[in-house]
Amino acid sequence: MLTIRTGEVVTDLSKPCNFFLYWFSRESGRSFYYFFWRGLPTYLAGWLIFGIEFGASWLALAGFLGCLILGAMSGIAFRVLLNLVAFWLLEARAVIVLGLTTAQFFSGNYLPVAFFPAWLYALASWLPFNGMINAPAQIFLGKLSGGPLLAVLALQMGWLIVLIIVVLLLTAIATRRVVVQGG
Amino acid sequence: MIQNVLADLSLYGRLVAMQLRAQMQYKMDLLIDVMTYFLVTALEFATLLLYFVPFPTLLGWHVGEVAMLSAVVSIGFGLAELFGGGIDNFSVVIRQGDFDRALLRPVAALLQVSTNEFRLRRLGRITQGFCAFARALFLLRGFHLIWTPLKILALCLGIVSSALIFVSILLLGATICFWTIETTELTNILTYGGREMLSYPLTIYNQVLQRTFLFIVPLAFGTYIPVCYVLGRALPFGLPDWLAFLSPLIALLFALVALVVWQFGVRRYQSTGS
Repeated sequence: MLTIRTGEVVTDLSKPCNFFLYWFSRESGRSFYYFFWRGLPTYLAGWLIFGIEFGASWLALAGFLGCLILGAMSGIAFRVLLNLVAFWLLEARAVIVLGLTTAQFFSGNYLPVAFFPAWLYALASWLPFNGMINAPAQIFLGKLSGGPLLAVLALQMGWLIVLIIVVLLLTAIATRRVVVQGG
Repeated sequence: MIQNVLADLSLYGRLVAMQLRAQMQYKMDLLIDVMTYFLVTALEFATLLLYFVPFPTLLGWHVGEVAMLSAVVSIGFGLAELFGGGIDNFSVVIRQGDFDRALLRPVAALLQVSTNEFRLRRLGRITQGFCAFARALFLLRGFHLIWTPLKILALCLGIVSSALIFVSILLLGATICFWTIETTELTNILTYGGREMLSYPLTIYNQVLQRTFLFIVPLAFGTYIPVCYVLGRALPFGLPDWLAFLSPLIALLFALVALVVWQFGVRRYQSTGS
């Protein structure tokens, strides 16, 4: 969004690489960095203080990693989608903040999804945000395995494809008529 | 001496008015901003209410009582965000080398930094705080709370004190910028983390955390203790009731510490060039 606001997005668009792929790679790098510098220390702290351990099988570990990667990619696609709104609204910060907060709420960042009342839980399990944080956590804790696990992974994959298609479509529409103010 | 203080205050007022005028130019954007922030903070409050659906009480605290606690914290934090916006943004000022300009002017650097950005959208959180307080009163209607002027005074003092302590934490974080350029996550732990933690009764946390938020970063004096006084609950560690009125003094002491550290940082400041 910031590059759109300052007009620098023109340099991004005139590069010979795909716009979405470029941002996707950047964000993936950031996610990878945060996994090691925020994720692992938090896990270690939890392991030391609260004694949380990974007690599930190797198959669950594979499921966990797969879910995590799919969730991370969905998260990146969703964030890019929110930032694309800036092509139409110059001050898109409000929309982005609202979108991110909704995503955080439905992914269990504020209140674990397991504590949602029944109607909210049904809604949350169909949204892509569930797969971003809640699903990997459930697999890690061994609460999700076998059939339901595969169902969740399939839903995640489906949402990822939908999000990427929407992002590519919106990018195509937006870049067709970009008007940059000033220089 | 008094003339200096008055001149500084009038300058502060004028700088803030300038910011307000600038932001009011884009009324639609401002309205969307405030409403968005209101919705975001309301979602956080909704989370708190949702928590009480599976669990009826939290260590003996009813949902209305916890809601009142959360509302008080929200208003205090909102005020701190409103007035401390420039301090929060200090890492940008340092990184771009603009602080040298502030030092060259004949006005205290802190005054300039704190009026750099007056984020009107934070009114969204303050509004949410008041709405949450109303909701809390509605939830507490079966408790027959007796409201005395002393209780209202304790609450108001507490909110102002907690706002002052939050701003002091932001100032401490800004001082770290002198050495690390980027604000460390430590300030976020104390501001956002503190806000989240103090939205729930202090007694649910272990002893170390309780003592930290009472005696090291005295946020609990501005939020938990006045609310305990209003609800007629006993204070932790057997502290006496009248401590609820001591919150401004403690906040001032903490702010003084933050100011001293800030002055130390300004004196040792070595610009990175521009």
